[in-house]
Amino acid sequence: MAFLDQLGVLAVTPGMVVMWAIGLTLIHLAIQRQYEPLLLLPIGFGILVANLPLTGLMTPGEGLLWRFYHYGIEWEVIPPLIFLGLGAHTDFGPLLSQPRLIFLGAAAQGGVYVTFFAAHAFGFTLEEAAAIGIIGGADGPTTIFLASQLAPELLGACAVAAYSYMALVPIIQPPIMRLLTTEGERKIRMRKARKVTAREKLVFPIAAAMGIVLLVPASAPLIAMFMLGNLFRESKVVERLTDTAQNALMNIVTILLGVSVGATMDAPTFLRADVLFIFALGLAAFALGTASGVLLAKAMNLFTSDKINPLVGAAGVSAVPMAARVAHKVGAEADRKNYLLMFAMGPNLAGVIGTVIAAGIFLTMLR
Amino acid sequence: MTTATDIFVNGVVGVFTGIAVLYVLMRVLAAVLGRPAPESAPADPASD
Repeated sequence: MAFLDQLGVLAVTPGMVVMWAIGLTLIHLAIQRQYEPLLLLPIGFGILVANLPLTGLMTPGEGLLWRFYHYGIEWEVIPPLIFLGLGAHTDFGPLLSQPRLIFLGAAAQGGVYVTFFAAHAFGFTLEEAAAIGIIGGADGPTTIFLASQLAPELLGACAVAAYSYMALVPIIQPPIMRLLTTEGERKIRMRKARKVTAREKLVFPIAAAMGIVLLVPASAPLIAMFMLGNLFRESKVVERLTDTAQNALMNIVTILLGVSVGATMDAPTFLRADVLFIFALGLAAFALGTASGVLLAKAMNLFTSDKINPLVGAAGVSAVPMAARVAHKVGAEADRKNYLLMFAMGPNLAGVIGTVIAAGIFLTMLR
Repeated sequence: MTTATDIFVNGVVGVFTGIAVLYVLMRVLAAVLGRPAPESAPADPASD
């Protein structure tokens, strides 16, 4: 009987079963542990359904999830739209009030480049090494954007690694922060920042978009959308657009992004020794990025009387706003009245921009 | 041919250059459009 020949259950392979377990684990972590649920839930479900046999969901030119992936990610549509929403959510005030903290966002990219170098030394191609290194930026959309362009075969692994480590920021970062700072440094109270004017906030996204894109044109899709979203917010004349970018549009593209990234993770692509290595290198990139930010803050303190609490340097790895919250929490353990959150938001936002610039440079040199 | 070292060096220089440009930009914006910090505001004239 033709019906029996087409039974999916007869085409199940052991690899598929392993992928179901991975998909279900991500769904479990998203629901029970609240680990980046907005992304890990659709990614987990995407893995699950893409590894059901005979569905054709990822058949090129035909499958539903293939269309999401092809037109959304390969065509560079979804990650920039995510950035539009992020921009609409972002208040650059903490960064504008303390411009020097922007360098901590650059330092945290050290992890990206050291890991890139290490991954290449371990045998990955330059393109694959770039996609692995950018995990250290702890910026999911940028990781997906870069991996889809340079190493599509690693997209699923890099995306899951990036979002997993973002979810694990409160576990990964504090030991590194404590190791690299003294009790006295963790107690440093930073001087109150000046108040930023509305005009500064209004002009910044326009000027920043022009400045960064003139310098690194390949970063334009992400930076342009990021700053457009922020301009919506700061202009205060397009409340509907701001609201759409922050909520409805962001939610729609998040669903499409998550499920299509998950769908790229079929058993033959994902169940390789390389993938475990990617997770290990991604973790190293993230840890190095954290350490670089803290160490640069300590170095800056050698040259200034207006001291920086080195903990805020750890927030330079993006992962907005989780990394800033962690910096605040670790600081509060040393001094309960030391309120570091707003100071840490500066490097946190700088980290987003730094990671996009790093991705743009990778694209410029490798595409 | 592009090597890993080329990318490493260009990347580090590029990221810091981009961030430095933004730093200068923010300083200019603060100078042109910002208001003075509370600490640097002129002190009230002595009343005596």
